[in-house]
Amino acid sequence: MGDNMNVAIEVDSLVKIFGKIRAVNGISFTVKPGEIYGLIGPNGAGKTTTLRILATLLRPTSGTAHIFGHDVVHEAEEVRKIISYLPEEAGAYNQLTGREYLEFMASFIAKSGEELREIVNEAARISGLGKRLSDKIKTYSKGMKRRLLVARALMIKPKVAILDEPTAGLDVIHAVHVRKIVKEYAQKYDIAVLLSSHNMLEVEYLCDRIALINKGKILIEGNPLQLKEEYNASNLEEVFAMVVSAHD
Amino acid sequence: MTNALLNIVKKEIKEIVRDPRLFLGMILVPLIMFPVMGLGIRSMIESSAKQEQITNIAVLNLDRGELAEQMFKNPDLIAVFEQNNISIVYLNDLGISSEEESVRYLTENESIAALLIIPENFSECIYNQTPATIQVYIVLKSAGFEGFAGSTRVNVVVGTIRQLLVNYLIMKMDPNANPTFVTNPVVSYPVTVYKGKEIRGVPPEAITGLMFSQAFMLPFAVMFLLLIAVQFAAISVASEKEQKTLESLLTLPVKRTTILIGKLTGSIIISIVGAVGYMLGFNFYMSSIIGMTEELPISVEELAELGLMIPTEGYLLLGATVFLSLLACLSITVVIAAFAEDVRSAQALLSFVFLPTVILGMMSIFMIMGGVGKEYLMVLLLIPFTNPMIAGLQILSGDYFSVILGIVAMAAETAIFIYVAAWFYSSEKVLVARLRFGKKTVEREMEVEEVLSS
Repeated sequence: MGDNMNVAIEVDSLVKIFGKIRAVNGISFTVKPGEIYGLIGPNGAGKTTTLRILATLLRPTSGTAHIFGHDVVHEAEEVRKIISYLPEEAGAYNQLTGREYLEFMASFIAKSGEELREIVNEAARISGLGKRLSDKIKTYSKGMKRRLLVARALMIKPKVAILDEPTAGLDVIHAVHVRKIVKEYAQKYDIAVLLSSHNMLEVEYLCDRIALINKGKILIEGNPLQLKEEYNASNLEEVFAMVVSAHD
Repeated sequence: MTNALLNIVKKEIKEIVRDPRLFLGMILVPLIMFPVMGLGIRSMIESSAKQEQITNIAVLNLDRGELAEQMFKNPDLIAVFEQNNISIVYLNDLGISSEEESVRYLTENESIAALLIIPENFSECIYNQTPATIQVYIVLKSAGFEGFAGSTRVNVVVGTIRQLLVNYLIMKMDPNANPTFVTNPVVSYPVTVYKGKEIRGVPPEAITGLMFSQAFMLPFAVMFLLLIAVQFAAISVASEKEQKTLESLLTLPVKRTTILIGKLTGSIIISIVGAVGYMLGFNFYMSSIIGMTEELPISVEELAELGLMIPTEGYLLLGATVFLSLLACLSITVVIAAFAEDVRSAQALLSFVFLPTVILGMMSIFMIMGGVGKEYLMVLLLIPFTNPMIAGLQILSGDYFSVILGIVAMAAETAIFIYVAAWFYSSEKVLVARLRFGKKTVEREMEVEEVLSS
């Protein structure tokens, strides 16, 4: 295990087996505070399973994962205090207003009424939903809902943000807004961000480092620009295709 | 923990109260359904009873003697007509002299409610002390209370005619006799002896009526409370999956047991409010129908002593048993509901578990009240769903020992079920558990599809 302060996420030989399926097959990586790390891969590669293990939702079959030195299995409650997890298909409580939802989620973090108000105001700013925060969530569009959820994930300025496809299903305008916010928060508050994405453009823009993952294994890891140079490719999609075909 | 719990409970209540499907279907409709039905029936009864309109009854007198004619001129019978807003139409005065004509008159005149045909041999029969037959035609205009009230008025007329004839015959046999006394020479004064105690002035039917109303109302109330609580808890869990909020909720810095207890508490609070309102409405409905307003000449304490009303300590025991059963049922529910993908499948899944139990419970109550199946009492007291239904009956009968045994069993079972639920919610099973039907064995599918699509 590395130094707690210099390593935000440390994953070592992680394996997760569902019945006969080896969803995650011995992956290892580390993420530093303030760094945005992307897990890139096709459907079924094991990205979501890895993120869920780190979010303390699933238990690894073998291997270990630590968040700022806390074991995600044995110190799950400590881990939950410092992470924020945004699932890929996350929803919100349709009968609550946007503001009530943010207040509900913030109430588990805030230690006073004043702190709660500050967190919610921060979320209101991130989401950019303005007066619509007073409306019930069931009236929101998909994009508005995702912005609300991203705001919920970042409003508490977690030490580690685990974002599964943060811009999935969003139109260009909403996606640009979300990416900008994620980058801003990682830099401004030294948040370690672990995200998964299909969108190579997004990955190039956001990530400091990426890992290309396929069939539960990390094939290559590195800085997006360096990887492009290394493989003499014009974009990450080409890199990905080359790496996958080399391994198949 | 307290704040987190409070936040979860508040959220749960808000979601239920604001969801029109839940609020209308499970709270508002049951709450107002019975009072509305009760008010409707009450107003129908009252309006038919208070009808100012006169009921027209046609009479065809074919009597060859003079008895029938004398009878219809009798001041007592005329007084009965007036008291009951009855107007007699003498068909003989209208030139009608046959049965066929009189029946045609009845069918052609909507204002006529009934027709009495006094036979030719009426006087002869009475003089010879042979029962005479008066044909009574009643037009049933509706199947409602109006038709019922019309029929009642005709029966009043026929009954009065009968009484007048009795009086006539008595007077004929002995001019010094008092017909009122002769027809009612004995007055009974009911004294019901129950459990060695005399209840004066109360007939046994009143006591059994009270017992039955308690014996039915209690289990019914408890069953309703459990059913709606179970529904709310199932919806609470399944809607987290349906709305895809469960994963975010489970990664919050709050103990899983707090989330679990918050969900249970929210369901319990809403259910209690719903059940109380529902039972008030039901009680109102029942009292509207059977007029349960008649008071017995005996105090509540005395009724409790006789096991006809639940005494204070009985309510405490009942409260404990209902609470523990509720927790046990809800703990089972939140685990079962976690296997469902959405609200609808959670409700379907639960019906497999609770429907047989409801049927078993209701059957048991009928059996026990019928005096059979008492050997199954302890078994029923061990099942969380049937326990409070049976416990209510046991408290009424004063069998506190088996109730306390049931409470001990419920406490143990509740502890086990809550432990299982807490373990379930602390593990990844709450997310990955699925039930697949249509196979010989029900198996848990480990989210393979989701893994493949991630």
